[in-house]
Amino acid sequence: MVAGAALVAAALTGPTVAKADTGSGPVGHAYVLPTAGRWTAERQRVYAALRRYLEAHREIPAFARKYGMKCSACHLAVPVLNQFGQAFKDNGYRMKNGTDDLRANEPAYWPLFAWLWKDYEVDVQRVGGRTVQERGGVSDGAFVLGGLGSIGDKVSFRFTPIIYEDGNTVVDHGWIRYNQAFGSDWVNIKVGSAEFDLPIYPGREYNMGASRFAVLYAYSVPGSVSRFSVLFPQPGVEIMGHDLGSRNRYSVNLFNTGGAPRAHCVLCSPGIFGRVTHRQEFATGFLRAVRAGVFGAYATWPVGPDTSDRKGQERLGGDVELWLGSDVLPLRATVMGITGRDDRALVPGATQDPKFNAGMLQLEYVPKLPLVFYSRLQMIRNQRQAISGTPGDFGDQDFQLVGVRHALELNSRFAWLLELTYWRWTIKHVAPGGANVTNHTLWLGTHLDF
Amino acid sequence: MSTAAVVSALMVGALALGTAPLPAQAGGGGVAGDAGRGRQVYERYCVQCHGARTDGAGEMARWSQPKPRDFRQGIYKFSSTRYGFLPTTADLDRVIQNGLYGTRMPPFAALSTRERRDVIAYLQTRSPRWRTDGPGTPIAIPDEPAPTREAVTRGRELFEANCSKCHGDGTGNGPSAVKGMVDDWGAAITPANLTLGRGKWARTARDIYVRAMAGINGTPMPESADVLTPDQVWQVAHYVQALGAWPGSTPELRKFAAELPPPGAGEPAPADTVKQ
Repeated sequence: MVAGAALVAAALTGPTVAKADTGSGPVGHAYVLPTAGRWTAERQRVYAALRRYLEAHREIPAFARKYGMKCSACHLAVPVLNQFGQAFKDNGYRMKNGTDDLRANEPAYWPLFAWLWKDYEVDVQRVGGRTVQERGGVSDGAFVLGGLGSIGDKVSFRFTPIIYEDGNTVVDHGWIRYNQAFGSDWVNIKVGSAEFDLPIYPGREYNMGASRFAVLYAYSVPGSVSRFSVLFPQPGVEIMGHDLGSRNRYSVNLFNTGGAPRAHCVLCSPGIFGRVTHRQEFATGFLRAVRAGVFGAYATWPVGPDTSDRKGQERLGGDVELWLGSDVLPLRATVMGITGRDDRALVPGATQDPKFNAGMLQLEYVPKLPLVFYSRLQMIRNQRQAISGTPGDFGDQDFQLVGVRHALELNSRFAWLLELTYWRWTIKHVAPGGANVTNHTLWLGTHLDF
Repeated sequence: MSTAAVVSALMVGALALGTAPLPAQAGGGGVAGDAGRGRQVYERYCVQCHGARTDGAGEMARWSQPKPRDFRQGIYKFSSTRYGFLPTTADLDRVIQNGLYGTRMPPFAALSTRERRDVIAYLQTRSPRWRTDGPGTPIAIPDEPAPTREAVTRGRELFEANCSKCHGDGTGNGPSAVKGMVDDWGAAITPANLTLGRGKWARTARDIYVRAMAGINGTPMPESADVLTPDQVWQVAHYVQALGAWPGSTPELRKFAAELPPPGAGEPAPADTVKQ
């Protein structure tokens, strides 16, 4: 399987179109598009490699084969989870029907999976209302070969390294979980690098471009040296629990802030995250279900000459998710809010603790199984700047996104997805001279899930 | 914002949209399901095993043992009704919620009551039996007597006379099982190992009672309603419960049952082990 996957990866990581300078300062036009011939050749090479791979490896014990479910059973639209998928995840990727132990399956399927994504992207950057950069081309391909699932009734795991085209490798997840401690669904213990329990996670987004990192949970106040955000996985211990069907849930994470100086030592940069959610379903009416959640986080980040002085960051937030019209083909509206405060010591030259508020409305509509429309409207507002005299709206952000995603193929072995997304992202007063910077991006991507 | 304010806002919003709150595990409140929506539910969660034509021939069927149900036939194995009768909506809801342990059928407890109700409505369109026969009537279940050593002893005798031909000493090693058994669809089938403390469908003594009384449709497991009295079936249920760590079984009765001679090893069953 690894060899086969590497073959496909190699086919995808062919020569790409050169990018223009992505520096933030004003630059001249650098609009570079691939020729039709190059694009066609690359596409044909990808198709051919993929076809050979799939035809030769139909017996691969894929992730879905272990569980015998279609992708759409767990995903509202791949890869976003629905309630059944959320419960499956909460159960440690177990069906809990006595067949989760590898020894219970014959042959014993390993829950392996792979993702590939590749896109064509056009970016236009405008500063102070003037276009300063245009660029386009095939970019940002990545390959993921991971495993997640259960190897026994009590033990689950997830390991997801992402290999980007430029050579960067990121371990998106890497954890082992002990399920149902004391025989209860309310105590599950996870050790490793894991995502926080939030409505949005960048590894489970419709769009695999940069927009997935633009959500409010990733925000840092202007000038902050801290790289902490609740959006990204953090190394530590998670204790979570839920009732039957995951209608009531909680999670608590004790972590050592990832990426912090001296973060390699245990609890040099400690933090805590917690969230509770409740889902209420309705017997009649257009509103099918509501899920509400609240969370809080406190993280520290080392500062000072020897990075021994830890300074704190607080995050509080809530979210309400509405399922409208249908349980399986819904219009889903999610409202998210977050407020944050950082210690002034995290911003060089700061005179006061900075604060910010942010909110986002997300709409998703699934008219039929292989098709989903999605959109986002987000605002981030700095309530108090760290440095006195800074314009009050310096670094404020507005973000809008619309997209459509269609599954060309969706079965138990693989999903082949096509997505088209447009987003506009404005950051206020950050350009030289205090002008706003606005990026417009059109993204056409393809995504393969094995 | 306080929790009370959030809850109040949600409730007001819900009422504005004409909704009524529903306990997550309620049986549906007698509201009829929508078969059209149920088909959407089926195509998302069920089609992989049960097939696009609801014929039990989905992609995963060839790796499934036992095989997925063919809903066109209107034969459901697990029911609270007598052998040969269609199950009630509550029976189908139970199987969807709890799954069938040890099989490919997972528990779908995360599905909303409306989803389960709708998919049941859809399944009930797939066989003409639902129109011609309709669901059966659940068998009456008298109050469970307290499990005692005497009941377990008596249950062992009844088990030996009526069950051990297939279930053997309780592990499913009876003579018929050794020779090989098939279900009505021609698939090989093995009697349940009752010492595991959990059946595909049954979890409690009450469940064992229902299974013993109603049998399992489409399999050689017969109903015993015409053979044993309710008291005798309870005795069998309590003996089976004492064979393994079933919920509700006590260590004392399990130890006691383990000290009894296994079925088939003792004296022939007395003549009064069947209902006169």
